[in-house]
Amino acid sequence: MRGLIPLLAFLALIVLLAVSILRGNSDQLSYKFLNEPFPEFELTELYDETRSVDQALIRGEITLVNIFGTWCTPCKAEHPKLVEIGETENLRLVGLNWRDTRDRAKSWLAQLGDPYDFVIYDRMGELVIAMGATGAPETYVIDAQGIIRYKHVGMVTDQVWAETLQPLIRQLESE
Amino acid sequence: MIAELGHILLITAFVIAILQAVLPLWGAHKGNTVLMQFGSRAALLQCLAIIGAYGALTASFIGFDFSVLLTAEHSHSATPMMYRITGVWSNHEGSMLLWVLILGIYGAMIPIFGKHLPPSLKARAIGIQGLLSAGFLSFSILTSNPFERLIPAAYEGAGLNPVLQDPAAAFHPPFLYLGYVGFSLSFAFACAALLEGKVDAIWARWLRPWVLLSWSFLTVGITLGSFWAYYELGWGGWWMWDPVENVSFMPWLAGAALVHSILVLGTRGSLPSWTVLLAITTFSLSLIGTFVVRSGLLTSVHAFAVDPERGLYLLVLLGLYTGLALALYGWRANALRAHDRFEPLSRSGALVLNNLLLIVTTVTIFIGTFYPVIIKGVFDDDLSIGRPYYAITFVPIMILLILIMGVGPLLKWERDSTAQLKSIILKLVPVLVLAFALFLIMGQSWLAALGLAVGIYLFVGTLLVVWSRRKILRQQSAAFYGFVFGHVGLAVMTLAITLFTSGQTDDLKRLRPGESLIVGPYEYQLKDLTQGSRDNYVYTAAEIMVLKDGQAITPLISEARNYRTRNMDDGQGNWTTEVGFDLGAKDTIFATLSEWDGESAVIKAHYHPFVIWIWIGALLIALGGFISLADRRLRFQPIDESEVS
Repeated sequence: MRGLIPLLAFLALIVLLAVSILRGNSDQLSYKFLNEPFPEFELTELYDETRSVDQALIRGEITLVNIFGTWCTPCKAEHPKLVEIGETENLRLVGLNWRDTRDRAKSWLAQLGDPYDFVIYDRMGELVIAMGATGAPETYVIDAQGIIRYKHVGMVTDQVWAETLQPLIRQLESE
Repeated sequence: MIAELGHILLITAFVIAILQAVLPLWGAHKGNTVLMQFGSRAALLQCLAIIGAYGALTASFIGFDFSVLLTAEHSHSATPMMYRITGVWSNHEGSMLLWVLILGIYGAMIPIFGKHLPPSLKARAIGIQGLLSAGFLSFSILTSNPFERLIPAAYEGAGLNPVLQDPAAAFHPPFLYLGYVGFSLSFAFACAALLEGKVDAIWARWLRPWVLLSWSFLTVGITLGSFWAYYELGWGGWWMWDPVENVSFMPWLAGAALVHSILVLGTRGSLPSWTVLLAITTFSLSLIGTFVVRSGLLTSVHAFAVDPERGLYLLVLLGLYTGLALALYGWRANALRAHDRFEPLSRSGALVLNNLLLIVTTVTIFIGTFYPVIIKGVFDDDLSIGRPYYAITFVPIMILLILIMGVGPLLKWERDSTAQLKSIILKLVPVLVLAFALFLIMGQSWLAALGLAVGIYLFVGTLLVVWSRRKILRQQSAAFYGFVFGHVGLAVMTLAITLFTSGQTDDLKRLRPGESLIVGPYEYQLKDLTQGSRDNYVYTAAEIMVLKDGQAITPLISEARNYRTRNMDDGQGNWTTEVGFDLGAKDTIFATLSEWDGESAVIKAHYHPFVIWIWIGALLIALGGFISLADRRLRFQPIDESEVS
């Protein structure tokens, strides 16, 4: 019987892993900065090279920070939803443009609509790395105290918005 | 045409693998020689078919066949030759094809080098290897077909992801796979031995070189990955306890235990059932590594082509293979008898203790990696485990392990006296205490002093073994020199890790040309900001002069590169950084360029003492493994039974 112990331990593990993978949503798993303050940074604004932006601008109200790049196809796909959120919600929406050129990002936003209150231009991914992001698009919910409360990996779809992000924002508003 | 040929060859390999799995196993069960011999030919044929398929994909990368979806997505007519070849495995589908290719090649090694193996053992091992191949070939064909066509064909490809256009990144996957997949032989032979009901010195001696080879390749693969993440991804550290790093480290630890326990089995005939369990565990951990990285269960730089369906398929394969092997183990392990017993106070005893510590370490890392996954997946609760967890679990176990590593090799194999142990301790403990005191006096923290003292202790302990055999060094086997390199390598790593961790520092500042930033003992002065173009990218470069005590030491050039060939839609590409490095024997200094305009740039400067010795130490460990392979006792020849006992 003792010989069966490794098998039983392994089967238990497989069941747990299967449950994890079937229930999906592994976004938060390895995210180390959850419930941590938004990282410090010093970068420039997309439209205005001379305007410097830092973490103080993320504080004070509930903020959505959305990482995007014009090279990222899913970003293009999720963009109409962000535009819709920008129009209907009373919420600060901050764009974080990653690995792009200013010109290309500006024309991309001109074409698809710009829902952002301001756009951080992070050409080398300095802030993106500091945030512990793994790719684009990713969307972060930051509370009024500047604490990262949620990270969503992948597109913000109607479902993600209705089931996850909007309820969380409502909850933060009532806090 | 050539893509279709590749696809057909891949399917052919799958059909052969199924026959290779079924017929020899049945033959071995019934004692039918013809069926058993069929296995050898099938393993060779299957290997050739996969080589053909792999060649076909490589040809479409080299020849820019943009009608193949994978080529169109990951190559470009301006990609240099080397990255056209390595581009094949820079994506999920090609990477899995490389995986099955290496599996096929290792499988073919059984008929090629196993001429003198007992026929039924050989047939069973080949059959199990066929079973593994069949599973992973079906995964490749059904979920990750690398030969999918793009209709209509693209005029131009998207280009290889620029962060992968780097030698360390390019060769990290093949080395890692040569390690991971090499353990399939351990797995196949473990299962074959369980079916045979017999594990002996012949088994261990045939298998040991393959374990050593796989483990050494894995060491190189992890080292390359660590080095690449350090200087290309700019993680600023050599090891982050990131889950993807951990999943490659676990088979390494289990493999290290296996390398040692199979040595005891091969020379002394002890530990058969433990060794078999380790062999199964090591390959299963490799499968878990593949599963985690390929399923996207953990998000990381490797999570290209995340797809839950693929993840589930791999999980089923993992559950099937490891589950069946462990069931077989539970059923048959009692049949495996040790030929020889040893006293706890002996070299074998020390090896057993180290084996246990290695497994405890593996379990510790396993918990750190998977506990948050399972808590999230099952209870929907968030929890993260980071560096502090590993600092309080991994570090103490490693220190204990190294303390035993200093003593063990000085003991006799089967039994030794307490007087001998006392004399070893009397030599080594003063070294430990003196070194510790000395480093404390030199101003190191007590933890750093302990790390350094332990490193020196292991170094001295290993040299004592060499010293004790100084008159007969020429007669020593290759395995002996392998041991020396391996253990000295770990001593070097321990020292380097400690010196790096206690001494590193960094800082960042916006600089105009002429201004400077001081980090550690160095001053970084920005000389110039320039722009230009080269090969397939344009760049902005910061020229930085590094000074120490007012003397110019070395110039550093940090670049931001824009590869034109990614995203051809508007002729603008992605930015990547090329870090200005000065990789020194003592100090490594580097500076990155993060944001700039015409007049100034934000420069982040790092001071990393002794970091290079971490990788040198790791490569010494791998070298030790490769040297051990030359041992004449491990030659592939019929084994004289009298020599064994």
